[in-house]
Amino acid sequence: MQIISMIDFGELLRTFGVDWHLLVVQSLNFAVVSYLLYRFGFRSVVRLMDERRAKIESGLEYADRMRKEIDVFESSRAERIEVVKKEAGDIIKSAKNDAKLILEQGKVESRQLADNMVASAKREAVHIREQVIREAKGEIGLLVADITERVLQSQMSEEQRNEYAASAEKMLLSENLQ
Amino acid sequence: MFPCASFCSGHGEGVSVSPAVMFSIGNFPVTDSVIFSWIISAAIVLAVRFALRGGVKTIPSVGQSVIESIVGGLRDIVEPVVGRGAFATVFPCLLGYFFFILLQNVGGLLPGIGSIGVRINGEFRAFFRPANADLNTTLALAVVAFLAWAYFCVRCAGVKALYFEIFGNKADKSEISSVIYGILFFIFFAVGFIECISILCRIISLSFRLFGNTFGGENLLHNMYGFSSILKNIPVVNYLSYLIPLPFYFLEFLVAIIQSFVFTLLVSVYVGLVCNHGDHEHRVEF
Repeated sequence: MQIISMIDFGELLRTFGVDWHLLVVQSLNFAVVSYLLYRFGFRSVVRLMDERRAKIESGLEYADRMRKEIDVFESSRAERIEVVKKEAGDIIKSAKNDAKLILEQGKVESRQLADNMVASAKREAVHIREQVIREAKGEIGLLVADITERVLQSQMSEEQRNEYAASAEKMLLSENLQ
Repeated sequence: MFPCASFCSGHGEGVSVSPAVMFSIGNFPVTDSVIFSWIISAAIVLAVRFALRGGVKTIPSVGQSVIESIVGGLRDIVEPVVGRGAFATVFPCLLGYFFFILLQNVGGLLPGIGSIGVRINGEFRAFFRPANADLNTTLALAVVAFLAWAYFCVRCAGVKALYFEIFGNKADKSEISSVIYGILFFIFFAVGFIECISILCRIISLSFRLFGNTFGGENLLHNMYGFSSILKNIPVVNYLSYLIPLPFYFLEFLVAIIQSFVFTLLVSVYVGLVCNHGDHEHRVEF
């Protein structure tokens, strides 16, 4: 404190040329320059930088949110695809089973139908054959009888002609039946 | 260059510690440093306006980019120091300090500043003197910084917080006995008075630091010019004489940047000591 009291502050300030007028003027000078710089320059720059920063932050936040949503969507999509794949597999399996069943059933039915058709055709064939035989038998018999009659009228007796016609009919019948 | 024979260069003579009064307006003495600071102040404002001509844009022009990078860089440094709560209030003042001191210092390095003047009665008087090589300017800046500090502290932290910061008992009552806590209360109160002296001394430290560096740099450059003037008379090395002050110009340019940054940072630290208590508010919009 003694050292401080020994210093003649007035002399010290005079040595450095300190003048309260100059102090006031330089203070005002600085204050005015600072105000003008901020009012007409830095304020708008700082505001713009804040806006830009806010935009960047919101953009990054949005991108982050979107990335998370995409991740969630991707995982749900993968899960959904798995479920759908499983469902599709089940459907295909069921369809194959159904198809197999229908095929088997169709085979049985078609075989049955074919058997029926064959049986019916056989019956029809037998029936037609019998009918044809019957008709042919009559026709042939008449024809043979007619021919025989014509032949025998000239060479054979009545008894021989009948015997001959009967044996010819018998022979024809046995051939047709075979 | 000058028609009058009395105009001359003051290289090598050293710089007077006090500014020279060029003329007076009533009782107000207009000194070489005041004239210089007014010119540079006007130039700063015009330069910033020129850089931001046409208004600020989202996609910045070259001038706007320069200002944005300086402002953004300063903000990134100062914001954690001051604290987000006080930042919006303090930052305009800090920007003013940084740009004012920086450009006044850099302006002092312009050719002719402090070196072109007139000789009156055998004594050299420069027309212009770097503003910060005058204690009036740096003292004015320090006084304004002190007043601004007090205002910011009261506005952002409150009188109670300011009082507590200076005189308050900062001991944790739960960790010590009440007897010691009571004793500490008196000790902290007494320390508060020392703290007040320390706070007042900031005016001296801020002003003399800036003044000393700028004034010292100005003297250094003058002496280097004087030294180069001596070399001019030596036949072989006379061409090199012009190069001698050059490295010191780079040094002084660095000092100009550092001193403006130091002053700004110290003011922000002083504010931050009271206003910043690790707050976690969101960024304050201007």
